[in-house]
Amino acid sequence: MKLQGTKASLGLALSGVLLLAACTSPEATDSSAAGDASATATESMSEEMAGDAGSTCLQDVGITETQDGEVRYTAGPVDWSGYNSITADTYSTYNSVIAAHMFGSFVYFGTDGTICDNTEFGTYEVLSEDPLTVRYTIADDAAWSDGTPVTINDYLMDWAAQNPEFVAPGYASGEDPEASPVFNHVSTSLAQYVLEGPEGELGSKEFTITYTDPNPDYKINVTTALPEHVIAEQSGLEPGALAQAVLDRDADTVTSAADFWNEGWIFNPGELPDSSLMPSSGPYMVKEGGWQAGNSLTLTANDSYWGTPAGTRDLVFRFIDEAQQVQALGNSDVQVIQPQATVDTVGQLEALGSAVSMESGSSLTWEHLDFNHRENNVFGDPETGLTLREAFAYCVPRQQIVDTLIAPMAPDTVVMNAREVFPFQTEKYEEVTSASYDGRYDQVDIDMATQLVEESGVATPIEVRIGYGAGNQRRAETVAAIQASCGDAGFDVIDSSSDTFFSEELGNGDYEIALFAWAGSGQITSGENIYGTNKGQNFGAYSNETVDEAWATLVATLDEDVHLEQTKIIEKELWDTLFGIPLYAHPSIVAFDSTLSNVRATATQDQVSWNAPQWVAE
Amino acid sequence: MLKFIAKRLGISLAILVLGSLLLYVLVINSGDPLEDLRESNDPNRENRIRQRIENMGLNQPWYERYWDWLTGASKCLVGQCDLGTAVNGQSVNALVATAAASTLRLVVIASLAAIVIGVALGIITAIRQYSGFDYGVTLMAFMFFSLPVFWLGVLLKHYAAIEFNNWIVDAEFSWAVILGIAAVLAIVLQAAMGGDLKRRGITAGAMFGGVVAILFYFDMVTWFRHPALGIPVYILSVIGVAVLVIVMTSGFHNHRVRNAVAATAVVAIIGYVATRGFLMQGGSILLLLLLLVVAIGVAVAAGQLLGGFSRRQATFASIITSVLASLLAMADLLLSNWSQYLSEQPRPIPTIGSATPNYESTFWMMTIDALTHLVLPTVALMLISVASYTRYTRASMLDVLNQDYIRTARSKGISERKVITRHALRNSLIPLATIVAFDFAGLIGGAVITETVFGWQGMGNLFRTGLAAVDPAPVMAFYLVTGTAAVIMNMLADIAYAILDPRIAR
Amino acid sequence: MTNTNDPAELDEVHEADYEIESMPDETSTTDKSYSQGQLVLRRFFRHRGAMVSLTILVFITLLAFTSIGFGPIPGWWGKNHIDLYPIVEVAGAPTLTLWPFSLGEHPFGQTTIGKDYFALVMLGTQNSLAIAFTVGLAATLIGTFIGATAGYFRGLSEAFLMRVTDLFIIIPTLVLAAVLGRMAGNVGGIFALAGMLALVSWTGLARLVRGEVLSLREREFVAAARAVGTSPWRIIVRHILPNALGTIIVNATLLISSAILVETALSYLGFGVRPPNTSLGLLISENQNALSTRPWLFWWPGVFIVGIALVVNFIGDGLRDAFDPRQQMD
Repeated sequence: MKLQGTKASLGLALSGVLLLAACTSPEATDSSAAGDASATATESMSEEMAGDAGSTCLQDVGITETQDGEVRYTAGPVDWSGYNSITADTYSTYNSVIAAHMFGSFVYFGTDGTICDNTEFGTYEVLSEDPLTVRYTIADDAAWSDGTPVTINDYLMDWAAQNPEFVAPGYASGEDPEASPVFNHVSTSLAQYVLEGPEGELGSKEFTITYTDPNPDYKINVTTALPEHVIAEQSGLEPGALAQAVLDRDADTVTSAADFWNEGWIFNPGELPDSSLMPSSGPYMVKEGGWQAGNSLTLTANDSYWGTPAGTRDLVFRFIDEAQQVQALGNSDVQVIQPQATVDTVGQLEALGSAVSMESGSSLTWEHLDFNHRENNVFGDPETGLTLREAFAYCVPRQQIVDTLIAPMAPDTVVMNAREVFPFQTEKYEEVTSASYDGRYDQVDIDMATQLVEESGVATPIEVRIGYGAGNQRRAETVAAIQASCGDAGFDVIDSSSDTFFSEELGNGDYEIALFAWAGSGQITSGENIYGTNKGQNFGAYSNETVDEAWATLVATLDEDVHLEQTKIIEKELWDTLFGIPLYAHPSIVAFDSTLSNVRATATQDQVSWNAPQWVAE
Repeated sequence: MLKFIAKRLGISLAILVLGSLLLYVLVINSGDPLEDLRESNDPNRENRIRQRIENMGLNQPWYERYWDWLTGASKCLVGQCDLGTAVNGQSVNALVATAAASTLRLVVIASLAAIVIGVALGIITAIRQYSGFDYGVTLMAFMFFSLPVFWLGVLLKHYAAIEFNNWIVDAEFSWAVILGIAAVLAIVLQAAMGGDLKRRGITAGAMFGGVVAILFYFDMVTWFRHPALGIPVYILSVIGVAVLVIVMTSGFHNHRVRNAVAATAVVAIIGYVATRGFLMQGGSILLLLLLLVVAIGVAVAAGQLLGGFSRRQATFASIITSVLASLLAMADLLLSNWSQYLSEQPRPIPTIGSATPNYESTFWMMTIDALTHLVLPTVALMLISVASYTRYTRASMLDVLNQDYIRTARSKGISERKVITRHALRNSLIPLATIVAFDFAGLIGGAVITETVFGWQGMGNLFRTGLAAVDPAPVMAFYLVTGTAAVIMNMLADIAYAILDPRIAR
Repeated sequence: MTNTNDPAELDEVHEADYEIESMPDETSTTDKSYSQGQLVLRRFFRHRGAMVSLTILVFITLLAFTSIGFGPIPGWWGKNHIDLYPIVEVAGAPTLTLWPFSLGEHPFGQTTIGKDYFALVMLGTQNSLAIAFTVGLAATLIGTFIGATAGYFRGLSEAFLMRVTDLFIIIPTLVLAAVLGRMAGNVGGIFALAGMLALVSWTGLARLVRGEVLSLREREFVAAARAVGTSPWRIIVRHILPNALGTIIVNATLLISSAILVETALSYLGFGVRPPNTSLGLLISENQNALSTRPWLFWWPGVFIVGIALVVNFIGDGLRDAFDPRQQMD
């Protein structure tokens, strides 16, 4: 029973930044969070699995009652900071992995990013596509651990906390740049797209959401909610009074809850409040006295949970630096880890023998080389740019990079030939790549590259600065491999890593090629922001009408067939005009005590603890 | 002198404020606090950026942000600190309190151990200058000094935690191990004791035989799973301690000191035998402190009553004896509870963290749990600072041994032991006081990597994560603690110079 | 990281004592200090540990700079730290064999992508040595200048300089490293880093030199020089500093060895030397997980770090003994 604990669609996307620090930037050797974070940017990926959803969602493992004992896990070195993990301050992977088990949600992500329904918590159905209207029904017996039912009230409060028009005029819509938010909520998407908020009767188990525009990502817009009755009580109101105030658009009353909402659930290290302040609507709740500052946080099974109970009584989160996790596992200080994937981590884990099981695979984060398409740049020149881009694509040793840098820890990793779908999403990946890419850049062809360079007439050696965030060893090695190969074709490849790459060089276009990664979440539409003309994440100033049109068509519909067709068009155009060169999906490693069953790796940013309620010791 | 101190205090405060301004500007320019968000592609990115700018006050000019911090921090002078809010929304006051507590626990024990071991080694190497032992210790000292902490951490975790925990299941020695340990200890001891070949041979032989016998015994009774000193060994040890203290202070001929120490030792033994059963039942920090106070009280009484003309020395020696006897008693109680702890925690030495999560048991179990978590980081910190203490003590001791008054003492025919214990030792330790002060101030903040490696969230971690997030509040809180410590220590050092060397005072 | 500051305090005190004790036999003039220099050299050359260490240090330095060359000058080792070579042994294990002795293709092994580890370690050694000696030299110059000025002129300039020293003591090295790393980017490279380390390392020496000068300036020979109208700076440089040289040199060696360690710590925390350039500290922190799987990646730079730190310390030890007139050689 794993529920994505974050409210907004950005859920996974944002946690990516931190998560990468935690697990998907294995090559980074420093342990400063900022250093690692700079290594990778995040993207929300569009993939909704066409394939058999059952295989990647949670499976029934036959748990009927909670077994005594504990399972110890670590998601990284950062301490827990509070019950409310969706304030702009507390929003982090480290808090999210813990919150994930305390809040019920309508949907969650399967192991390959598929959006799965959690029918134990509730159901939803699309009533109309124009305007997009979705009806949500919360399960009848769904209740907080203190007995209060989970109702529309909680979702009303959640909508209000995203600073809609009546709470913070002009804020969510961005109409008033001076407007300041009332609630420190990490997201504004519901307030922005759902002007009327959840519609239904106070205390009802049913509500509808009406979107102003078509929204293919509607499924992940409404997920979890914080307990309205606790917020109301702590703000000196009756339970339900806040929800009523939201329905009445009574801004003053709603605003009076802001203090508690913003700060009341952020705790001083190790100081847990009364448990009535932290009810749970998921399989786990915070154990009383279970927080030792900087050391551990323990969740204990929620006995009043109505759905499938947690497998093991206590779930202990330890706070351990990535580099220290393998030895901690070797000493049984923790039982499940997702360490940095490096050749040596794999070797160390293998050395631990049969007491430890290891799974390696790919994550939804993928590495790529992006060309700078600005006209003053050698690769963006309208005349010769494309020829040079092709020449460069011929000399990039993609297979060698994967073989030497990735395969030693994740032998199944292949060179990635797409941007919006991943190799492990087999069926869809096959379909998209067969329609968009003919395999011409699979093998390094120096002769071809040299010939193209000559054709372009640009004087050699051509200076190519590959920019990336400083301090990333694997990227330095990638550049070294490209340097060695492309030097023969007339390119003078320069390693220009920088501390300020993301904040300055990337935005200013001060590079020929940018080397970084996007972290996929579950969003369908986010690619538009990367490939669309003048969009926010289109750092290389790429512009292509076909691509723009295809995105416009894609985001305007919920039809999955249309999504697939448009994705093929986009991918083909991106290959033909060489937006950039995809390299590989980042490897990830999960290792656990062999006495545990049901530990299952996931490619998403939810971390291996996504199905922690199913973990049981033999 | 008072005027001098007051003036220095005022200047120190000004320095602290100036330093805080400098540091604040440095920190907010050390990176981009929005970096993680800039790279993000999520639809609420703008919202998060706006929220963070608002919450961190990034839209204010730097001097306003600094002023906000300074006004909050200056309330510390009236005991109402407001150190602001960290980027994750937590109160920095609470963060720094937790971090400081955790760091102090780590640093105090490591420093004490490093000082004791370092000073002892320093003295011995100075006395045996240019001997094999001197070179050996120097080599080891520099070796540990040059080891990066994370390297040491990896090794310690592997051998002292994982392998030890595997071994403790059976706690068996092989003959090769027994002989090996005995041989190493024998060689070390004879090198330290020195003397002619015959004396060295006897020392080594005795040591070798003794160690082999003890380890063989330990192996037979799997002592490491069921250790205890027991009353008889306790009595012997206290007597040994008393003898050692007498030898080190006055020598046996001074019957006043001798009697006072002996009386203290006897009372300690009787006291412990009487209370042991009761203490095994349980205890508390308060109770233990109370007993320690009683023990010291007894020692003072013995010193005052029996000391006669040597009252001061007798009291001092008695106090040392009673404190050591109390520590021995503590060790005995902990050892006696070890087997119980092993049955509750089959892998006793952890590689990370400060406590076993959710572990609840008796006082002694909890104490052992805290100690097992302290062992590895303490050893790592200690091994590194032992080197410098050894070197400083050695240099200082050598210096003192070459002084004229030592030459005079020797020429009077005083035995070498007395020359060293009574004339050289004390004087050679005076300069160390300054170093200890500085080292301690440095250690509070300098344990950054040790904390990371062993999963302790202390001051170093606070500083490091704050800096990584370009979040001034925690970094400034760190500065306030370490900077104040450094300035105060520096001032104490200056005052000490002024007292020691009248030419410097003004 | 605080180690650099500490020796100063000890020496300040005991050297002060020493001056009182040994006043009679040290009526120095310029030629006396020359012969004293000879004495020091003699003592130093007879210090076995220091001489062996000096030989090793010279050997390491020569090896590092001649093997892969320096700047535009090529070295005798055919491989460089940039090119990728086909992996020779399994997992890039070293080809070095001791019996029969042979270097093989890659004596120290290869990295994951096939770089020659010998070339990398040599480059790292070059950088670490450059950092260490730059820090040692720069910090010694700054510290000596500030300490001597404060100690000799006393009064306001002393108060000011010593408070500046306090200020530098309380600013954490890491913050400076982070800020400077950011501002200098990869341009200034290791020398920016070394400069920064020097900037925070001189404080201990300054306090120490000040202490020395404070007592030396009261001595007869200084008074004599002053009486004949010698300018203050000439007195400091010609008469006072030569007498404090022992302390200064000894502490410079300590600064050098701790600079290597501080650089290692900074690299571990991500504030030190950045790839694709490298240092011993960076190599060892990059490969900290390789200890049990590919130990050579960890041990080679480790051996060089420990080796350099050890020999520099032994040389410092030898110098300390050589400059102490009361030390006897066996």
